[in-house]
Amino acid sequence: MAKKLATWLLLLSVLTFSAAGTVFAEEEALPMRWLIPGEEPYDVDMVEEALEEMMREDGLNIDLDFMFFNWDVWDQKVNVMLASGDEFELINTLDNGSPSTTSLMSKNAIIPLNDLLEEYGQDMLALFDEASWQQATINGNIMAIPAPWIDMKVENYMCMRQDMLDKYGLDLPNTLDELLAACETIYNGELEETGTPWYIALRAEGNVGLFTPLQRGIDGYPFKIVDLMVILFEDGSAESYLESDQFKQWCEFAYEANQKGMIFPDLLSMNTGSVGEPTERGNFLASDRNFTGERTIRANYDENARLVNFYLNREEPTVRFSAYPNCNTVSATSPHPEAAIMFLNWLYSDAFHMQTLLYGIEGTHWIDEGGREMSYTEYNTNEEGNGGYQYAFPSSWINYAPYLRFEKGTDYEGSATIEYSYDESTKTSLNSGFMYAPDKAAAEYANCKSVITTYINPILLGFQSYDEAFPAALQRMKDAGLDKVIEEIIEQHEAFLANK
Amino acid sequence: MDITRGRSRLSGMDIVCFICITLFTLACLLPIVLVVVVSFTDESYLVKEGYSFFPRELSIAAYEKVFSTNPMRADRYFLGNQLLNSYIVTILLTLVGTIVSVLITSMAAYSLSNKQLRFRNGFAFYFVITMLINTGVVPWYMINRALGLRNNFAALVVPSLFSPFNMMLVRNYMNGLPEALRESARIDGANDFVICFRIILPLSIAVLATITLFYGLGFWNNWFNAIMLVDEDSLYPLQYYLMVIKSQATALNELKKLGITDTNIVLPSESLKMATVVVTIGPIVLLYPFLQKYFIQGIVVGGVKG
Repeated sequence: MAKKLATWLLLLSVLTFSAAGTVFAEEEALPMRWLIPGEEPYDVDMVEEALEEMMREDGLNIDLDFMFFNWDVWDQKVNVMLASGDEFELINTLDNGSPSTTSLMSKNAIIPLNDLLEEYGQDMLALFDEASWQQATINGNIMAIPAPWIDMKVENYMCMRQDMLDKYGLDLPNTLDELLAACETIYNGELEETGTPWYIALRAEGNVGLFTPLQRGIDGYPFKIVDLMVILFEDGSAESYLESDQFKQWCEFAYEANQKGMIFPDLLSMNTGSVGEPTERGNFLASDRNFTGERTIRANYDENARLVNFYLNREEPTVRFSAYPNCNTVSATSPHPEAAIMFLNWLYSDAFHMQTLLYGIEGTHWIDEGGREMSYTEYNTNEEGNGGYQYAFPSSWINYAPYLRFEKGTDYEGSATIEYSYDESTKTSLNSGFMYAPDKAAAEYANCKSVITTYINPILLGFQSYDEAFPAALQRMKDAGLDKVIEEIIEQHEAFLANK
Repeated sequence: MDITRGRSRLSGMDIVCFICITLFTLACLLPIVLVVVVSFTDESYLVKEGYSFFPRELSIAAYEKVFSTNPMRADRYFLGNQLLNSYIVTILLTLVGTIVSVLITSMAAYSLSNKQLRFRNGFAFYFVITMLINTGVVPWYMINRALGLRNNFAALVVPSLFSPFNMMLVRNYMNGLPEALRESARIDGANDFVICFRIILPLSIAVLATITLFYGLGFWNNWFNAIMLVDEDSLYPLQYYLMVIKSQATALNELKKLGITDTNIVLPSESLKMATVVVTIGPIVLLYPFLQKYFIQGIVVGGVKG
C-alpha cells in the first residue's frame, strides 16, 4: 500500500514540476515577418537586433524578420507566397501599384484591423488624421495602416529644366498648350544641337507619375480618376471616364506630343526604370516632381542643370486626392497578427523609433545634428555599399512625414516645405480617401484592367489616334464588363460620400 | 559548286547562300561586339554620345568596379566581392548539380531499359507525363518549401536535379545496347549495380557526355530557382545577380527621385551593366566552340537505333 502511494506521489510530483516548467518557461518572442520591396540593406540584421532590444526594454517581445524582394521579382514572389499560404505578418502595400489594398482584399489575403487597433494601436489611432483612416477604411473595415510619409499635394507638381526654359527664352507653362509648345521648342533645339532626343517622361503604366499633375491642365479640373474607368467630380457626381470629354482631351494632348516625337518610342514595352534613366541624367522635357535630383544631375551629368518644380493651372489651388500613397497591411496567414500592430504602434509612438528603422543605429550609421537635421557616418556612406550606404531603409514604405530628417548641408527647404509639411492652403478633395473594392465585380474588373493595358494604354499614351482607335477599344471594354464595373464603383462612391 | 574540272566554281546560288549566312552571322555577332565595346567605353562619353562601335574615349573603370572588393563585406561575399561570390556559387552548383543529375538520370535510365523490370513502360510513361503536364509555380513552390528548400544551397540544386527528357535520351541509347551483355553478366553472377556501373555505363559514354553538357548548361544558366527560393544575396548565382544589378539601379533611382536618399552616387552605369554581362557570359562563350560538336551529336544520339 505504501509502495503504491509512493509511486503515485512520485508520478504526481513529476507531472507537477513538468507543468511548472512549462508555465515558467521563457515566453516565446512573437514573429513579425515583413515583406518589403527593394534591396536589402547590408546591415539590416544589425538594425533588426537593435530594434528588438529597444522593444524589449519597452516590454515587447517581438522577433523581427525583414524580407526584402527585388523590384523585378516583387510581383511574382508576393503572388506565389499569397497563393501558397506562406506565413508572414506584414506586407507593404502600394495603393497605386502592386499589390494594392483592394487587390489583396479581393484575394482574402489581408484581415480587418478594427479590433486589433483598438487593443494594440492606440498611438497610431491618435497620430494619423481622419482622412488617412478614411482612406484605409473599406466597406466599414480598417484594412491598412497608413504610411503618410508625404503630403499628397505633391501629386500636383511636375518638373522641368529651368536652365532650358531660360536658354530658349520660354516662360514657365501654365496650360497644356503652353507646355506642349515649350517642350517642342526644347526638343527641336536639343535634337539639333546634340542629336539626342529628349522626352516627356510619361510611363508605360499610363495613369501614374506625370499623368496625374498634367490633369490640372484638363478642363473640369479638379477631378479624381478611379482606375481609368470612373471620373469623380467635386460636386459628388461620377461618370464613365473613358467616355468623358476629359479623356478625349487628354488623348489629343498625348497624341500630339507623340506625333512630334516627344514620347519614348518604345514606351509601351519599357519599365519604370528604363524611363527613369534619361530623367535621372536630366535629359527630359517634363517629368513628375523631383525636389532632390538636381544635385546628382549637376555633379554627374550637367553642371548647368537647374530643376524647377511647379504645377499647371496656377489660378486654382493645389488639391489633395488621397491621404497617403503607401500603407502596410496584415496578412490573413499570420498566426499572430497582433505582433504586426504592436510593432507598428511602437514604431510610430516615438520619432526616434522610426528614425532607428529608417537611418540605422545612432552613432553607428547616423548622427543627430539637431532639429530635423542628421548626417551619415563615414562607416555608413560607403560607395561599395548597396545604394551607397551600409544601411538606409526606404522611407516611403513606413514613414510619417514629421519624423523625417534631412541630411545636413543639403538644400532641403523646398522639399521640406512642399513634400513633407502639411499645407493648409491645399484643398482636400471631397473624394479624398475613396478606394474601390473590386469584390463584387471582380472578374469584370480584372478583364477591364487587362483590356486597358492592351487597347487603352496605346491611346492614352498617344501611340494611336483617339478618333481612329477608341471606338473599337471602347467596345472591347464594354464586352469585358465595363458598365458593370462603373455601376459598382459609382455605388461604392455614393456609399463613401454618405458615410463622410 | 561546280568541281568537274578539278577547280571549284561558285554558282549564283552559292553566292546568295554565302551572303545570307554572312548577314545572319553579323546579326548574331554585332550585338555581342557592341556589348563588349560599350563595357570598355568611358561613362561620360556614353551619356553624351550614346552607344557606338567606335567610341572616342575608352575606360576600364567598369571592370575595376566589377572586380572591386569591399573588406567590410568579406563575411558575406567571397573576397568581399558579390560578383566573385556569385561566380563561386554558380560554379559549385553547376559541378554538384551536374554530377548528381547525371548519376540519378543514368540509374533511372538503366532501370527503365532493364527488360526484367515489369511495367517499365508504365514507369516511363509516369516520367513522360510530367513533361506534358505542368501544374505551375504555386504547387512547385509549396513542395520545395515543404522540403525545406528555402535560402540554402540545396534550393538552387535539388529542384533541377532530374530531367525526364535527358532520362529518355539515355534510356533509348541503352535500349540499343545488346541484351546479351546483361544476360552473360547475370550468368556470371553480377548484380544490377555491377552490370550498370561496370558494363552499361562505360558503353554509354557518348550519351552521358551529352546529358552532362545539357545539365551543365542548364545549371549554369538557371536563375528561376534563385528568384523563387533564395533571398540571401550570398547565395545568388550569376544570372540572378545580373538581374539584381539592374534592379538596384532602378531602386536607387526611385529612392532618389522620391527624395528618400540625397546622394550623388550614380550606379550602376551603362558600361558597368555591360561589363557585368561580359563577365557573366564570358566562360560559356569561350567554351562553346569546344563543346559544339557534342551538343549537336547529343540531339540525335538518343534517337538513332541500332
